Amino acid sequence: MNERHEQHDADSPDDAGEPTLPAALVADLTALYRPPSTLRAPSRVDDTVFRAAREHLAGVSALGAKTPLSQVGERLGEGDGSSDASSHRLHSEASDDSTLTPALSLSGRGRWRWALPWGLAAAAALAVAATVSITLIRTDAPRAAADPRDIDANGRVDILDAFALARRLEQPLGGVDPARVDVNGDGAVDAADVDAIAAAAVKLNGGRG
Amino acid sequence: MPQDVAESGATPADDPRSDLELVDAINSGDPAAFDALYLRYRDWVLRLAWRFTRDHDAAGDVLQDTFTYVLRKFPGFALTARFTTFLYPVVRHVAIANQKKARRMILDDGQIDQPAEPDPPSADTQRRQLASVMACLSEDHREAVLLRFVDGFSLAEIAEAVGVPVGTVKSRLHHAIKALRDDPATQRYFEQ
Repeated sequence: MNERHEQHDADSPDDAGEPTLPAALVADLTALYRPPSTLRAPSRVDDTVFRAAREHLAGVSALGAKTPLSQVGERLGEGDGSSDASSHRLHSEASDDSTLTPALSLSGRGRWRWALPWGLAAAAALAVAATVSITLIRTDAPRAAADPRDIDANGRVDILDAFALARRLEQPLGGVDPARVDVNGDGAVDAADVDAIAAAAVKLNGGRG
Repeated sequence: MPQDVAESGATPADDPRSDLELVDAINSGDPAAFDALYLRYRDWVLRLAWRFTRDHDAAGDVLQDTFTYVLRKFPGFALTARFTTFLYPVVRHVAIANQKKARRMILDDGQIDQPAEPDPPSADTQRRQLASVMACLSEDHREAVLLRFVDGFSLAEIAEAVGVPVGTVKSRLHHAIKALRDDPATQRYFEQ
């Protein structure tokens, strides 16, 4: 039965009513396709799903979900950074994904959408960061043993440091040590420092392609 | 069961939040909300997976892969239909993909060439014959019948779940019902 035939039939007057089946037939269908009473979800599946949820959503939390990004976007005048644009219809995506397999189709376009406002922010702050860097070099300012931009202290300055500082700035008391994270040296710990770190991250990563 | 759940005494299955609220919470990184959503739909997915696979272990694999897929939709996931309407095509696709990988064959319980029964058949025989007729239906027609009359989906929900117009769903149901009515093995259902 092809779709054209089906659609043609569907448009016919005979198909206007709600299709029904005799109750006995429905009962037997239900009995036929009812799973065995011994069917239980394996505990290994529960454990795997719970563990996967924690691992995956911890990453979501670490990236500050949606709010911090949108707030930073507003600070930088890059638009509202709303996540609405990245939301997508749950059903249509699942239904249209004809190659749906867990291994291949889970990368998610939304995963990278968070990077857009940060990329724009980093570009906007690049000139400021370059100026700061040149100033530091020319004045031979003493460098701390640990890079102050390495907020998460993992030995690298990357975009996660910018996220970390942005998140800390949203905490009621700031949650930051001004002496440590005033990376642009202007005497204040604020969005400009986040921008500076983001710019540095882009600069550092740029050579790696 | 996650430790935080065990310590609180409350189970995610008792979570009073709606599906929409749970989805919002998961988008914010709340793993407990995902636990609740999983436990709310776990058995439904498992039963559906079993229908596709007819195998306990394979159904468990489909359950896991389905929720792994769902999990990776977060963050940025918007619930615009019943959650089962979203889950159905996911379960179906995952089941088919897993079967292809495992090169499993789905065997129907009934035999297609059943001899005609001169006397009124027993309930078991009648069901076997029904299974045979159902096995002869196309996959699309059989799916429409099961979604409508076993799972209780509305026509619109079936249309959303399988990605076809409502008119096509009605057409599939009418053709399937006609086949059941015309087949000597099942026409007695319509004569009762």
